Amino acid sequence: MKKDKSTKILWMILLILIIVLIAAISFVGILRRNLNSWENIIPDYELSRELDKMSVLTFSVDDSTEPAEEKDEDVSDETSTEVNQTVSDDEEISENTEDANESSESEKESTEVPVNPKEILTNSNYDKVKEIIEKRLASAEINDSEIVVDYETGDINIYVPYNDQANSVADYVTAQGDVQLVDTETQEVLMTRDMISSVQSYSTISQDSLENGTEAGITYDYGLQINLTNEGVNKLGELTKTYIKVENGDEESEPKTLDVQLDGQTVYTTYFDPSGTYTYLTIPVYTNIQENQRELYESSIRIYETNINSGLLPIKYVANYTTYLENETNKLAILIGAGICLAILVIMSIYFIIKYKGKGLLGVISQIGFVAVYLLLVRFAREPLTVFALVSIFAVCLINYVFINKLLKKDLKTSFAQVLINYALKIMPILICAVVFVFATSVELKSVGVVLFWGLLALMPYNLIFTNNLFNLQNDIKKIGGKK
Amino acid sequence: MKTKLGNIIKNNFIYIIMIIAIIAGAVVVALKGFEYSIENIDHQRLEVILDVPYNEDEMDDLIDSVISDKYILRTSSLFKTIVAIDSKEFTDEEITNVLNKINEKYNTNYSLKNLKLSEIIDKYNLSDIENMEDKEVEDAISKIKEEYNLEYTKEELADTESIKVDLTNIKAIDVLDTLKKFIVPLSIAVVLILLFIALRAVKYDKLVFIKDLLKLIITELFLVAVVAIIRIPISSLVITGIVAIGIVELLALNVQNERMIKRNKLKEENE
Repeated sequence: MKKDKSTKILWMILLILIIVLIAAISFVGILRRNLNSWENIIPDYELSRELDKMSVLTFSVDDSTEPAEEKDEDVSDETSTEVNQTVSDDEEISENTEDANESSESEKESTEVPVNPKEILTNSNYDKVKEIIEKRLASAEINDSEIVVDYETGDINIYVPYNDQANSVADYVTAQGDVQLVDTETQEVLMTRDMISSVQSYSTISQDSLENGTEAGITYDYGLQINLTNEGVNKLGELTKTYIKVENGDEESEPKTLDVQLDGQTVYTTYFDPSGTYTYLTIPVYTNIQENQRELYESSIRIYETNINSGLLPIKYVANYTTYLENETNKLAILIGAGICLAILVIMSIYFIIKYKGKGLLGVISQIGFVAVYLLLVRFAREPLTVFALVSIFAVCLINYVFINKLLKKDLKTSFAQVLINYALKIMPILICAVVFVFATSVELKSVGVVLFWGLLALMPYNLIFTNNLFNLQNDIKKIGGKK
Repeated sequence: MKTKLGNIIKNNFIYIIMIIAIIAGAVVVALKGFEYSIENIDHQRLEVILDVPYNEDEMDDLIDSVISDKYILRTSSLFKTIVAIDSKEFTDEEITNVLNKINEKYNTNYSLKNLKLSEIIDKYNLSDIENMEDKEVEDAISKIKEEYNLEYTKEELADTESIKVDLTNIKAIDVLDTLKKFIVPLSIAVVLILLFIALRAVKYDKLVFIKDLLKLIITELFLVAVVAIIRIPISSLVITGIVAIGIVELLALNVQNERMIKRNKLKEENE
């Protein structure tokens, strides 16, 4: 009997020690030496832009002009495009193209026209721009953003958190996301954006051969697979019969080529094997990329993919300036709020100890452990915390407190599962909100959803392992003591 | 009959009060509209470059003593050397007072002239003032005096590096944008919660879905009415607050429902 009691006391001590350890990790952190300072390897809390630093990026409608070129009737045959091409035997094309920007020389009359004609600067187009940018930022996982359009000037202000992602916002606003195929020689548009259903980025790895005694290295190619609509597939069928290499006896003539242009820039020049069947195009955009530049080009190709898939921006924008903003008052408000919440939890803990004595103290220890585990989960979830989410964290702590209170009150006949089921039925609205809000697009709701979800998910296993066992062990110890 | 009516009033007294408040709120909204927070209206931002880090509390006290309207004080540099003050509209007098206070505290020498400099340079094409004829410059200076009532010298107009005060117009963040993002997830959550409540109570109260939905709508409208009547500036924080209270109410309604089910089950067992 005595041995039994000692074992149970040891178990209780072990559980309490684990709680203390978790609390130490959560409240103090795991520190690692980094040069002359100590660095916490536990991620820090991420605050939403309204509570932390933010960047405000300002974009304005491009008011520049571009030459409007009218082609002369006689088009010269001279061309300076050099293409090295290898057409694969199936649907894909894979070729390396040398410079393809020099097009035919012809006599052209040119006048300057605005990049954004007045007639396109309408409120409906501004709304469309806003919608497309919202889509692009969401695809790039820049979620905590707010887009404000000035309908008088067309200017756009984008509020985003102040971090590395803020630097990439301009890439999603200043690119129109246009793709077209044009004749290399005449610059006649052969296929427009509306014939393209979607694009997918891809990457390939290739091992360089050992040359001149230099070490063989790995290089990367990044490109886009352009998927077409039915109309686009039909059009491509026509093009594959026209843009080919014509053989005149033994002599090889220059092939008739087309350019793939992304936002007006030629990224690839090609021609087709007339015997092939084509339903999509594979466009290598960046080739022979070294390992040290990989990240840069990988993100660049993803930006192309996101921009094209989100739709064509009807208006061209230019980046103006970025403003940094930080509100210290909000941080002070958070600290005051956290202080009040802590005071409430302390008062409740005192109530536990006064009402339930020793068992109440165990309840308090368990509650501290739950808060520690929960805060660790919140930090690892890496969701920007809004004011609403901070309130939700406190709400989850209260929900756990009430649950521990129910476990303290329960008689020996009632099982943990019964208490849990009854409690879950009562807090079902919170459970439903947690699950629904996790999928919300609004940062305010998503943040709340994530915080509630992890809290409620942790509640059951934590209390089963720690609170329930601590209370059972205490009951057993009491029983053994009583029998003695 | 009278007793029955009295009982209805007694049982639903709180809802009657709420409905009266909602009507009052609707009248206020119709007459005066809602009050919005600074960020949710078109406003102005006064930015002052101090070159030295400033203390937030001291700056807040300083601004508070000269600006009567509501304002948001923020820093717009990582090293807290630029102060940004957002307010609905700044008068020239307010700007002068703010700059005077800043001059006193931080030994600067800013004035309205400093603020208007970039606007004037743009307006009168004075960016290349060094290469302009004296006559042209004199004409511009007299025009500026006429229009702005400010006297500049040629050197002052040429010294663009001294522009350390700026006033910009900031477009409002539309409250509707926040609301639009809330509608779908909130509607789904509310319908699921009410369905859960209704399914649990179907045996004892078939109208619980409608009743609880009405209660929720009345509470939410009451909160909106209170916001309108006591002129609380609407911001995303206020909207999320109203949503949070709605969720708490649904939680309370569910707890009430569970208790009702428990009571009825006990009753059935006893019978």
